[in-house]
Amino acid sequence: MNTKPIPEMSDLSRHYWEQAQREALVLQRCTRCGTYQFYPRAWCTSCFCQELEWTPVSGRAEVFSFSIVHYPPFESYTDSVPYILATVKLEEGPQMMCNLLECDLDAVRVGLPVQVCYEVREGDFKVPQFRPVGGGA
Amino acid sequence: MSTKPAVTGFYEMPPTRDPRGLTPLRITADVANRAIADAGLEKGQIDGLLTGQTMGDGFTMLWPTVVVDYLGLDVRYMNTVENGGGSSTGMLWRACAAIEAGMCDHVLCVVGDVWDSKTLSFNPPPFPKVAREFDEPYGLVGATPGYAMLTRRHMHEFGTKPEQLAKIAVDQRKNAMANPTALYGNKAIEIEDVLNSRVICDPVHLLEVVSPCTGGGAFVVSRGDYAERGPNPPVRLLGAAEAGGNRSIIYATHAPKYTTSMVKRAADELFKKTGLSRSDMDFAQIYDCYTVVVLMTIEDAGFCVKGQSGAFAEDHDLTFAGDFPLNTHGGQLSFGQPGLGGGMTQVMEAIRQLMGRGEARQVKNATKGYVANGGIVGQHCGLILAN
Repeated sequence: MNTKPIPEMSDLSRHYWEQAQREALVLQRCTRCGTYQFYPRAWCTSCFCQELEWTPVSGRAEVFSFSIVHYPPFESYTDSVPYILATVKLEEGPQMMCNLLECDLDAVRVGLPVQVCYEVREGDFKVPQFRPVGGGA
Repeated sequence: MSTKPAVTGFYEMPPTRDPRGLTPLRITADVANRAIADAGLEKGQIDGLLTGQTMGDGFTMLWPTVVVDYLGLDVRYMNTVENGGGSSTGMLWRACAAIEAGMCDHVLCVVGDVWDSKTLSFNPPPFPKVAREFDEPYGLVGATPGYAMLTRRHMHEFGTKPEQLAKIAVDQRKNAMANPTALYGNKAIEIEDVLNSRVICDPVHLLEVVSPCTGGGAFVVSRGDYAERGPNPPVRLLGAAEAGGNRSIIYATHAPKYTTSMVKRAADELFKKTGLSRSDMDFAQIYDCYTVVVLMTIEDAGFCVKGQSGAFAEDHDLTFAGDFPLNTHGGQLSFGQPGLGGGMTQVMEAIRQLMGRGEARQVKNATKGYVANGGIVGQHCGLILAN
């Protein structure tokens, strides 16, 4: 059983997580200036308008930076160390955090092309993660 | 005669790893009492208070009132300055501004904190909800993994080498060895010791990570006319510049924001408005929760070309006797980081040097210094101080 943390969602972010359960990655996009943003907010950080639309995105990204973490932050990570924590830059612009899954520790590098995938946790809750394009980097 | 407010006295508690019998308020009262005496004042003359938040007291609300009540003060101005690592430099300029606004005459600026891993149990931790929702599920808790990613990106963009990052820890340790109160001042370290220490979050090693402890410090800012006749040489504020930005670099959409910190804008503004150049600074006290923070502050503050701070660290002697005296108390890396009062150690050391009380590690003929507080992600406040 994967007992890693389940996010505590808000009214604003509920749609993001619900879509993740269907294995869809959605981001807020401003209907006025077209800017994508992550994490979810009630306002566009670019033009400060409130007309934001949930928009499906490609899930294609590249590794912007990463760290190999050697100490578990929670007991539930004990069996996972060392694991990769990464900031990935989505094709659409925003950056997200993830753990790179199915990725060899020696293969990870800045610029590595990655694709969204979903990690199943307790209660079948799916958390968006990323893995190398083509797998097994 | 100067009419500008100035620092008139200070006291810093030697940091300790043994928190037994200590509380944030007890430390606060002790360092406040000694700083007030150092300024040649009585407690009743203190009519302003600025204080920092504490981990050891559970991040409670109405904290300035709690401190006023505990110390038995009667103030005309008070507040908490809670800008993380940028809090203590933030207190200094706010104290000057309050005096210049006619709000009060003598402001006590103080922080004391207790770090006790046995009793420090936050559930949930005092992080914003957004961090609990989007950071924790990925195993990002605390600061080290984020700074590790920042370090990695700096290496990628500028070719910064592990040895260059390690040099910061090595030279600061030399300073700590001249500071009898530093927690880690008893053993010299070499670059290979840093690189051979445990990898916590690759590429960050144990000896590049700040170590929490118990401690605190206080200083008094007084009206200019008093400062001129006080018992200590007044330490004047020549300028301050502050900046706030992304809570987390993860979501900083534009790449330059990742490896060019908010220090750049603040420092450009600071040197412009004071009319001073970088070479006028006799020392720099720079917030150092991680070695990469020091390197990036050096370059973003304009002491070298952007991206060249690694080479700068290699080419300069960063000790108190060197050509770029940096974190002359040992930095938080070797002095200790007293809970949420880490930035206070840099402010204490700047005041100490400018009052000529640096003892074995006194920077010769120090007249002006740059002080940077804040972990460069989230918040920053830089000062230029002079005697």
